Amino acid sequence: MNAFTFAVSRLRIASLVGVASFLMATSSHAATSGIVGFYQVPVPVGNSAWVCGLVTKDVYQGAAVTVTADVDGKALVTFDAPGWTAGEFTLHYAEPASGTCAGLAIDILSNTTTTLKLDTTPAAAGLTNGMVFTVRKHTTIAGLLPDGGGFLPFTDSLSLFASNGTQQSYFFNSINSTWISALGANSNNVIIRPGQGMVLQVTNALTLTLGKGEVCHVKTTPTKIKANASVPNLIGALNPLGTTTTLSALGITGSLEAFNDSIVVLDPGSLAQTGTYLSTGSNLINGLGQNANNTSLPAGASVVINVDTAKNMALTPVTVSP
Amino acid sequence: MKGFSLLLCLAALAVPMAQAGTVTLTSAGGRQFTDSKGKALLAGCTIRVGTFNLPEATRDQTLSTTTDLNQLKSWFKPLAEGATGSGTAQQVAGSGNLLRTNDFPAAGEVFGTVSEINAAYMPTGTKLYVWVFDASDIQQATQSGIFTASTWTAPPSLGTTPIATSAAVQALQGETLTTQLRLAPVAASYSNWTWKKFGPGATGAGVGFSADTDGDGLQNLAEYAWGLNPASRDASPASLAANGTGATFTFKSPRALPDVEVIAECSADLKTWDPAPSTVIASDASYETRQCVAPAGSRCFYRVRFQSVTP
Repeated sequence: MNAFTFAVSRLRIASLVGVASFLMATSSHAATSGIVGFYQVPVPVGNSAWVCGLVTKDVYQGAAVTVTADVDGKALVTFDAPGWTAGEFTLHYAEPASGTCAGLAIDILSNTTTTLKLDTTPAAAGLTNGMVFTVRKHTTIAGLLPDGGGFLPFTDSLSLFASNGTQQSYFFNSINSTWISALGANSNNVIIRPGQGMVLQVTNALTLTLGKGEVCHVKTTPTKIKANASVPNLIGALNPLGTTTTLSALGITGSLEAFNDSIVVLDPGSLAQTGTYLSTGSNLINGLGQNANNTSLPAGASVVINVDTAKNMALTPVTVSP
Repeated sequence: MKGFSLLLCLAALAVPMAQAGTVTLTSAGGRQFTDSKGKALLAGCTIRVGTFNLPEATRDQTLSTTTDLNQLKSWFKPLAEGATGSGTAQQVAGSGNLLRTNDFPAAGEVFGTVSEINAAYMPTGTKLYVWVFDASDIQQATQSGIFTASTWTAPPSLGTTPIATSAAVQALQGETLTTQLRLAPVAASYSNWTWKKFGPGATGAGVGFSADTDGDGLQNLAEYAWGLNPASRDASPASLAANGTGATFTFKSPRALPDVEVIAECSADLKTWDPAPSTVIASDASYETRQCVAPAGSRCFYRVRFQSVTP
């Protein structure tokens, strides 16, 4: 598309029962596994912007013993006997659970049996000894849509935008069930970052099921995504629930520079801009200065964020009842 | 006040001087220790001799109903004081720490002697118990037994008491047969799982139900229920298979763990969780493999709940 030019007795008995209940409650314990699932979104004919609300499974979670700078300055994070195999994290990221970059997916450049080398510096990401990290495999196109998702082979496309704003489109090759680039290169392992939006261009309306492959895990912790300066950033919340949501539910209002950074909402199908919104720091407003917090947004849709200065933006996590 | 001090002095004078006694553990003319099926224990199995710090009137009853090894260990008082391994015998050839042993379990052997028993530590006449494991490393034991007899008592100072399996032995855990003292399988329980996975009497945050020391996202209660290793990252035995028209959720449920329930739950909104109906699609002695079929709808989420229960 190039169409993508975004602007942006009884008593006694009762007592005994109560005591018994208390004793049982204090002696029992419950735990739950991670949550897996699927959900569907209605993809209209034409172009529409979406985000995947699911992630891959946690492959490790633990506290770092030390965080140091490697010879090239990159963060070298050491763990105590984590049980890894050297070089096993080839498409993975580490996510700190605390600090200024809590929830940010930091790419793993390499790993030994006890260390992770991350694509950041300790100072830049605020990484310190004792921080808890979660390691996950990145969502890839093939991991997200292993069977093509109902796309018309070689015709329908999934487009991603790089940090410099360039667009790459990918197609499903039904002959060997792979995703390929416009030049035919295998693109199964192309990464879709957490919260990163994607534009789907389809010939026929389809109901897209997300959760078919390894990307079927619900993430319940906060997520941060990096917004790059002077390029359209397509982002959305990791929320697989509901049919509609609101702009403010994205949770990024406070991350936007007041009266400067903007959110652009796109029309599903035409991808035309339906509205531009600014943050006051605590609320979103439209072009008339009216409160726009409750502006409706299709659940699972992504929006365009325009910022002047690169920054990490916090996305509201999904709420799960225990 | 003066009277009180005098009483204290008299009490101090009344404390007997520590003198050494000896206990000899023998199966001569008596029964052999065997596993629960009657097979003689291998050389190297551990035998502990001592008593349990419990009220005498109810001690045997308590011991016969307590299957928690960690609890038993917390009560156990080995026969001899002092040195590492006191009161513990490994049935290997040669001399143990305080218990000399012969090759075990040949019938009729004198297979252990505990000497240097301090009467101030283990008063004369204290009823003694023999706690037997089917492994040299008690952490790896799969069976154990606790035996006692009215004649098994701490020796008098400078005296010797035989602990012979020829006596009228009572099996508090295990079984007494004419020619055998049989062990019993270690009961399946979370506590006994921690004994095996973290070590006898292990304590600390890493042993608790909710700990996840290997960082694989599965808490100890889940690792126990699914028979996983809490020290290494395990793949979850629960999986989702979704297609364009629906999904199935498959998980494992233990068959022989009485103190934990494993239930699949489903939700459409991540707020209201309901038990998910499931059917057994495979099973073995330890586990059932169950499968849930997602109800019709545009979304469905699953998780497995592990609930500790009192058997």
